[in-house]
Amino acid sequence: MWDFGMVALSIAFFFVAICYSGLCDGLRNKEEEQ
Amino acid sequence: MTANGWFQIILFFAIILVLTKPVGIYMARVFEREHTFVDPLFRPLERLLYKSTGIDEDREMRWTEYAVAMLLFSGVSMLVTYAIERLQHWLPWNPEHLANVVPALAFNTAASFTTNTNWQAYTPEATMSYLTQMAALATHNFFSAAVGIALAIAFIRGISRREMKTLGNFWVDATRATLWILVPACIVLALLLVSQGVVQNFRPYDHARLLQAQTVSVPGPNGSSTTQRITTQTIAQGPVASQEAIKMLGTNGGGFFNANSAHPFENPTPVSNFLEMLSIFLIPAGLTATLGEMVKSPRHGWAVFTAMAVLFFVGVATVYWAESQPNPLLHGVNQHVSAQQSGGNMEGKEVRFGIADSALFATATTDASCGAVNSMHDSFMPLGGMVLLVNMMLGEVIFGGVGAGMYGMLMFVVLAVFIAGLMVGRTPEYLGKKIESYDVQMVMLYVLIFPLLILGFSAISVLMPNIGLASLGNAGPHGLSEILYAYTSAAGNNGSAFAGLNANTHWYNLTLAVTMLCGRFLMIVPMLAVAGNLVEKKLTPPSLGTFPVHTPLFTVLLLGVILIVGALTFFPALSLGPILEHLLLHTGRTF
Repeated sequence: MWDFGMVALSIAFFFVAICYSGLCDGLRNKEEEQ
Repeated sequence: MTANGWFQIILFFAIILVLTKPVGIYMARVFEREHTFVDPLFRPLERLLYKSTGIDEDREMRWTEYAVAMLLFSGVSMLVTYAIERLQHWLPWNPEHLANVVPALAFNTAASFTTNTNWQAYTPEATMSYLTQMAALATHNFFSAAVGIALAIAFIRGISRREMKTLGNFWVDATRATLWILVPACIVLALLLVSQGVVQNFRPYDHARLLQAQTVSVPGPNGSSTTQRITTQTIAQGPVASQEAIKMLGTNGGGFFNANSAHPFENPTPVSNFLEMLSIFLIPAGLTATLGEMVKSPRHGWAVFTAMAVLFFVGVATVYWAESQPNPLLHGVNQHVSAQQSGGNMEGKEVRFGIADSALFATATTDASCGAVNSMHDSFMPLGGMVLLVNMMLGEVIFGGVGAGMYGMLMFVVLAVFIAGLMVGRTPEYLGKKIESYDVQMVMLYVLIFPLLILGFSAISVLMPNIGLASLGNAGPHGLSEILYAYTSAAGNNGSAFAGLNANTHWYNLTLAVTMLCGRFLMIVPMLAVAGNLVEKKLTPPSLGTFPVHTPLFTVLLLGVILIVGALTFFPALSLGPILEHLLLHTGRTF
């Protein structure tokens, strides 16, 4: 159970970090459009 | 303080100063793919690696692709590390038959080594098998350091290139950082350390019969204690020198033994100590020259180096002074330096290193987000310990971790240039690139994540007596310093500790792991975003309104920005921790 939680937490973190880079890029594109 | 102590500090810095330019130029040549003397050795291996993994070495990446590649690489290698720790009991190279690492600690350690932090909430020689030490931890020492260097180079390309879309290829940069820089340097350093007596073997632990048996009290169930008679001592062994070399050169800091570089098998002599201190600063200092070389402005590189050097000297002088002072609570005791004693505060310090080398090592390791220790930081005087905290709180930019210090400092440079632009009422420019609102938004994101993690988790820990405070070894302001130090060390990816705090609990294992991951990767993303934005910009010709970034004025401004950001953010917490402890010490109270 703990192993499942720890692995899920690791994957979730890196997934969020990848989405975060997408958000930062999106903010830049939005600024360029303006 | 002694003349000999100051001589060693100045000699240390003079050698770093001499090595900075050649190391920096070599690294610039490596990443600009120019010819180097190790090409015949590593170029065939590099080609083989790319061919076997299907990497196109000529394909360049936008910043988002670079970031995703780095995140996937780190994520997968973290999971592999976790798996090795959890399975080590059934895997080879475990002569002591050590048990599998428990899940929360395994997660904390995997996060710690992936992020170049090397925070250790365990006793390595009693927890990690030889295979785990080598395949899981030492490999991360190489990978995480290589990732840091690659990211710094990507940022420098963001400044030096113009009207382009790409920052390089992450796989190529990380491979070249490993093969061309870390591996050769580690082979040389490991051999030098072996020559000083650092052990390198795969033997089971030795057991020695004590000349004088010891009787110790062991806590038993229901709070009772039993006495045990100890007649033998277990002397841990292992492949130490090879791990020690990358531990220092990669500013990783995770010791093979619990006592880290205070252990005589990791750091046996003053010469090995000096080599280890030099290797902490070697690559971070060299990267300032790499910056100057790649942006075609060596004087800018030296201006950044000077800012780092000033902060280093202020730090080391303060720690050396604080640790050399007599303890005000010891009355009627001669605490002055003489031929027979070091004087000052020797608690937690090795006699073979003394106060000067302990203060220098502690300053270098907290400046450079290394985290290795040759003395126990928890035993430093309040002001000495505070300087170590401040070194980390400034964002690990005083030379900093390999790569991480350079890109952290460059984020402060962008902020300093922006503030200079505001002061003179002109569009801020950095080496011909206009700094616009998006750049500053990302810089502020980078700057704000760091204190949010440290102060947020510290505050929550302090508010939970049964979870956060129960782990403390000391009450009052020193206890607060211990918690603050733990989260600062984790967020700054440093890894050293005020060891009075027992961090091997579910709360600290999980929150410190999250702090390490956020302090590394959530700061890297906005940094790469700035690089990705800068690389596309046109070059603006210098004019009378351009702020020169190679002058003493620039260095002073940069120092001001770093200190003001750090002071404003952390001064209230510091005043409740080490500053209050210092004042209470002089009224006769200790914690």
